[in-house]
Amino acid sequence: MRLDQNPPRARIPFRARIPFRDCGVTATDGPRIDPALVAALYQEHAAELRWFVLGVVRSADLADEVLQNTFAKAAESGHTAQEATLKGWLFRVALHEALALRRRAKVEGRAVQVLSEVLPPPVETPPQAAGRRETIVQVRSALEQLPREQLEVVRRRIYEQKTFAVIASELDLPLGTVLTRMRSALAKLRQWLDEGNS
Amino acid sequence: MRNDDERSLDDELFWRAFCYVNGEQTPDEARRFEAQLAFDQQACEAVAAVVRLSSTVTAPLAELSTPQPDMAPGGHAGTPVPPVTAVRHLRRLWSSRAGWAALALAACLAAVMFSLPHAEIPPRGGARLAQQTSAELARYDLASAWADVLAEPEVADDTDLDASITPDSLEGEDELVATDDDAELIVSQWLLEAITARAEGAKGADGAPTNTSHRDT
Repeated sequence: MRLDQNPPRARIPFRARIPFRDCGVTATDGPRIDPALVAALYQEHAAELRWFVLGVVRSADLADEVLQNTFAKAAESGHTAQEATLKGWLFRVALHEALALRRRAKVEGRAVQVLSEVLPPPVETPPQAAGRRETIVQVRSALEQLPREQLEVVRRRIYEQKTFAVIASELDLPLGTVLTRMRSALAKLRQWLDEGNS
Repeated sequence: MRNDDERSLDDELFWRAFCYVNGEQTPDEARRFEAQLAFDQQACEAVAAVVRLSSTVTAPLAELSTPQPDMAPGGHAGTPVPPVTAVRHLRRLWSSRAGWAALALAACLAAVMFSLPHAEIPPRGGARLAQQTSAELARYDLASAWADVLAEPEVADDTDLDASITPDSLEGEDELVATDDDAELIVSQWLLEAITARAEGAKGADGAPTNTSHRDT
């Protein structure tokens, strides 16, 4: 199995005999992936990976730690993965790290409650930052196009961090109605953002 | 271009990811979803997309919400309080005794402010009478003073009179004339009558005029 999160050490000498050009591994000082490739992977996937990890560990500090561990693993044993599946490999390693760290930190079950934690990633490049600003303008425009009742549910759920049950109670609506409004609003927002990005 | 089935499946996955990230799943559902994350790259990307969308939407939502610069108790300057916190704080304040005391104080202040414009209205009844009486008493005192001055027989001529004028006495005179024009007019009428009566009485008694007549002019 090439897509291995923790490859046994015994396999490394064997793999060192295989030409690693396909996945950027250099054989000069052992079976390691080319640092330039790690850097390229970081540039390409770190932002999305950080969003993903943040969704699992629900803490910015832990997410950064997981991200660091993930790319350390990539530098150490990324050569075990095919280049075409490196992105998937990174996500799996990140998930494994995130779940382990979350268990240790005892933050399991916690929702992403602190808005300040959901910040743009520190690895965001200038073009990514510019794109993000543009996205914010698009999102605002999209939000203003939402029906008022859907916007109210979105605001209470995402901005005020209230649960659907609380929102339903406050608005004196059935829970199903609140869920339907939120789901419909999310679908529209995603569609508008996808169209805006494309 | 995705067809409707793909989009629907994608929306379903996105919705599950949203519920997972926001803690809206049961522990069992969350465990199953995490198991799916271990082999489903689309599910992983859906989680990333949910967090990204939430963070992207937060800033515009903050702008669309009421931009009140409320301060959290003990918070830093410029740190806005989320609306829900501000409302809770107000509710707590309202239900507390301090809230009621503040309300009572505000009512007292409003009453005082409301009564202030009435000070401009002319006094009625006893207050008006007291005001008139004090004015008449002032006029009487003024007339008595003038009468005393005019009745002084020892002042013989203008030289003595000029010598008796000092800067202090002039100051007092200026003040008297400048501050009560109305009283000066009344005193003049009274003065004429008084002097006339005195002069006639003196003529009747001595048969000779007194030397006080030069002050009439």
